[in-house]
Amino acid sequence: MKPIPKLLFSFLFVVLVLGSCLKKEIFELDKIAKTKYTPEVAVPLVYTSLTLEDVIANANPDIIDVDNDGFITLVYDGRLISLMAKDALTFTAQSFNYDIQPGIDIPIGLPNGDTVSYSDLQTINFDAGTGNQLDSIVYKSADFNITVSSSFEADIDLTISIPSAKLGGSSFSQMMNIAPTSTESATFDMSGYTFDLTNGGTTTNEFSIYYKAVLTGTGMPVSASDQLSVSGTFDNLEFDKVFGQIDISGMVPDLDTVMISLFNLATGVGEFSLVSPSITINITNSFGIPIDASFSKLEGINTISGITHDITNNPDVPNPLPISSPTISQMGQSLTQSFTLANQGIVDLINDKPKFFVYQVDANSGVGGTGQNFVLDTSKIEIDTHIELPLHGTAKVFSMQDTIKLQLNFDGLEEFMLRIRIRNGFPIKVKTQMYFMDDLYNITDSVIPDNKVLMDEADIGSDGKAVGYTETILDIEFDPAKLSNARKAKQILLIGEASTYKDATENVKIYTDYSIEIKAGMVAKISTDF
Amino acid sequence: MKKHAKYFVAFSLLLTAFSALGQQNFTLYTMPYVQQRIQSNPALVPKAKIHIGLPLISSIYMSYGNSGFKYSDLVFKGSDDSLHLDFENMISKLKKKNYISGSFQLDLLTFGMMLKDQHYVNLNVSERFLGRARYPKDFFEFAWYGNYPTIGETLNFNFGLDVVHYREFGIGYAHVTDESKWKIGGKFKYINAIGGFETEKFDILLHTDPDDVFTFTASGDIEINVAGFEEREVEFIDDNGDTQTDTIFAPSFGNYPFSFYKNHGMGIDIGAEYNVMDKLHVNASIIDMGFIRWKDKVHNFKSVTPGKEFKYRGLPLNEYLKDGDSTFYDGMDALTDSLAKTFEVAVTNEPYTTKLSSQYHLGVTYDLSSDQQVGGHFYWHFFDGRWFPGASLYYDKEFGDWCTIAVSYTLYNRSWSNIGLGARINGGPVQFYIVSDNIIAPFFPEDTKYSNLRVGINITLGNPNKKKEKAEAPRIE
Repeated sequence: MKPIPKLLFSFLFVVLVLGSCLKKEIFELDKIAKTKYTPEVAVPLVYTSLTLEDVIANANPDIIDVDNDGFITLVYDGRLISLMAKDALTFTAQSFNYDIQPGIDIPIGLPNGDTVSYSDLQTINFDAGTGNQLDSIVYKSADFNITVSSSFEADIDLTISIPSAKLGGSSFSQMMNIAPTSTESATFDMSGYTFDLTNGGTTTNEFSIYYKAVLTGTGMPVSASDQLSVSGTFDNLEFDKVFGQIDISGMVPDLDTVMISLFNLATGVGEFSLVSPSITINITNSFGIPIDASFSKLEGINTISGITHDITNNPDVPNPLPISSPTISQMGQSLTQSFTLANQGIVDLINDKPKFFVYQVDANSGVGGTGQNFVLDTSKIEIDTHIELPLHGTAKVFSMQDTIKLQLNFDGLEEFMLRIRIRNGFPIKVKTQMYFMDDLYNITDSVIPDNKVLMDEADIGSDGKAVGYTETILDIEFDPAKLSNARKAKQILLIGEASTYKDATENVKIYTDYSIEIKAGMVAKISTDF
Repeated sequence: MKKHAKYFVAFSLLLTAFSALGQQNFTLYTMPYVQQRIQSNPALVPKAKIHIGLPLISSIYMSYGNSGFKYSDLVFKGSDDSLHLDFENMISKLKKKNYISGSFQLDLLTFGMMLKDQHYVNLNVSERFLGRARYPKDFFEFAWYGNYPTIGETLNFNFGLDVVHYREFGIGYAHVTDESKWKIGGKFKYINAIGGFETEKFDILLHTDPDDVFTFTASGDIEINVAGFEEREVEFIDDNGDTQTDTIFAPSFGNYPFSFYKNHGMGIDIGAEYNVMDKLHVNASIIDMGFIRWKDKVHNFKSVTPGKEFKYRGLPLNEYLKDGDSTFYDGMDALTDSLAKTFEVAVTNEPYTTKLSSQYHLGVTYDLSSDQQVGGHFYWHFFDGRWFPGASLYYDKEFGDWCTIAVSYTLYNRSWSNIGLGARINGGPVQFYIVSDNIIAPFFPEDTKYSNLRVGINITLGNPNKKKEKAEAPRIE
């Protein structure tokens, strides 16, 4: 082999075969040092696009009323008074006693097998309660308990009859057999019985019991000291119908307070004015009694401001209250009367957002009424309020404020910028600010630059309806200094305020097709080692 | 995290070492004694009358290339003896699309013979493995710098992978005469393919909208064909030490290397050389014109809704506001479902066809003397809708009939520092050769974007120089 090729060949061999085996430090991957990784990322964070219709679809439909144009009215149906007859009119147990003594009533001495009979009538006064003069009563349920004790040495068949108590046209009549010198008890179901309490059309609250006793001799002597004692009670009395003069005036609550839950929603609301709110009061009655009633007190109270609006003498509040009562021919029906309060006094009351109504009712009933009055066990009287708040007006919320304990963690972030874009179709402007605070509640930094508006309001037309939308873009820069303050923060103070169009100086209307689109994104510079 | 960096670099190395669709033989092109150069131009017949390529060792070829970056673009040694990663520098070296490519070829059998001094016939059986992975600059910029620097632009994460493994049965013919200025040749190849992976489309687009609070818009258009893969059950040990089975999608080549596959194809090589003057020769060839029809264990993955856009505006608060029962996880589930639908692919089993990666050669050679040549060589191949060119200058010298040394300088693969060297030595009929287009690479792999190596042993018989020497020896009268 010649020297030059030999040299070249050797060189080639070394290069291609051995050269590839060289171990270089640059391939010693264990020596790779940490590398700083600092990408800048832009990411969308949250997104929502909602119409007001979307929002209220999830709200309580009972408080929202939408007309054909989509205009929203908030409504509240509450109840001032509810009086049920079965709760208001109750009857106590009615008790009585009656004795038969031989010396007076039957011959002394009765031969074995001989019989002698005796009869008598006892008048019972029915305790119907104060002021009630009842003509009749139909029991839904009642028990007639009777106990008879005999000291006679004779068998006795005692028949007890109440001629004025009828069921299906038949008077009540039951017979009890009492053995010599013994006591017998019985309970009779009086459900469905109609008791005529006029004692033959002559009085009220009265009926009679007829007794007939037949004694059969046992051969043993009947002494003068022997007697037959009858003890009776009507209890578990529940009426189905009651007729007569009935007084429920004492049953109406005197002074009471009801909460208007609608205005719980308005907690923290600053100024609030509606153009045409109204309160409608509906009175429903099925008592067959003339009722003369009026509000002696009717006030709305804002417990936050402490302001009381007294509308007792408001000209829209009728005195007496219009209450219709069904006649006999209308028995079982409920009659309703309504009146609406919508004058300026009412507007002032509503705009002050009363959380409570305080009322007092003076009522007279039944006294001096003509014709036959009645009460069914289902009779009731209810006074309901229906508050309508058409969302046409202004509102301004001052300084909604909250403090949140929060430890923010921005590990790996060098700086970032938060972008919030809101396309607002509501005629409502929102400003907010967020402050970082230390352990001692000292404010260390703020978030929103220059207290910029978070959400600007949409313009309105001459009819108060919003037109189109307004776009607000807010960039919040978290430079390293602000980020450092954020990391150190122990609390966050949130402050916000909102107002309708032009700082709540012009009335706006709220429609369901108003929409809002909120988008938030972030540009972050990350810094980490790997 | 440091471990992850190591893995990343190791992965980069692996990719870099990954063997290019198409073979590059810049230096070999100027070595007429080595029969294997006929693989670049079927008209360039070897000088020996007969050659026999010994089974398995006659030609072992491997190449790698990374058009994007060099290892040293990513890793450098600091003054503290530590290695540091310089992703900014690495990314700055990238083009819009970058390719890591590699190839491996093992000649199982080659044979060639000159008949009547003008008919050269040859045949070969070769195992070929060709692969290329495409990686987009957009992805690395996105991953390293984040999306904010490119906000408003549409990024395309169009990764791609094309791999083909086949066995080639070739029979060639070249016509050479002293009377004609032309040498022409051709080869027909039957291809039996073992497995393949083709990325027909892989467009994953991402746009970050600066005017819409950074809304992401993504879309996907994916079309991938795979052959020689199937689902197989595998056993594994879970965290509790229990044996579990799972289904994986893995290569399945049967009784390789003794199987015959249903994936058939064909290829044609054509070439010619023209003697412009006695010492000036021009040659040209087209290699691997053909196709493979894939039928064996084929799976096609195609987007159900190609190009359908998915917008992500942030967590959808609507769901929570409208429906109080919705949770964060419901929102994330909905997001995941939408994303899955956008990128949903349908799987079918339809046969498909891939083209061979054709290569085009154009060379010019000037004989400085009977044993020295200089020349130039242009090379192209077409892939992924674009041309990949290369150019080389070379010089070779024969040292008698037993040795040839060739040197070259090549521009290829966006690489400007490729010094090639080739050597051929004959000890009697036994010919050993070794050729590389980048001799620097073994010494400076960290600075290498392209390199290859071919080495082998042939049996050559009928050295024309000996004949020539005999013919030219003075007669003793």
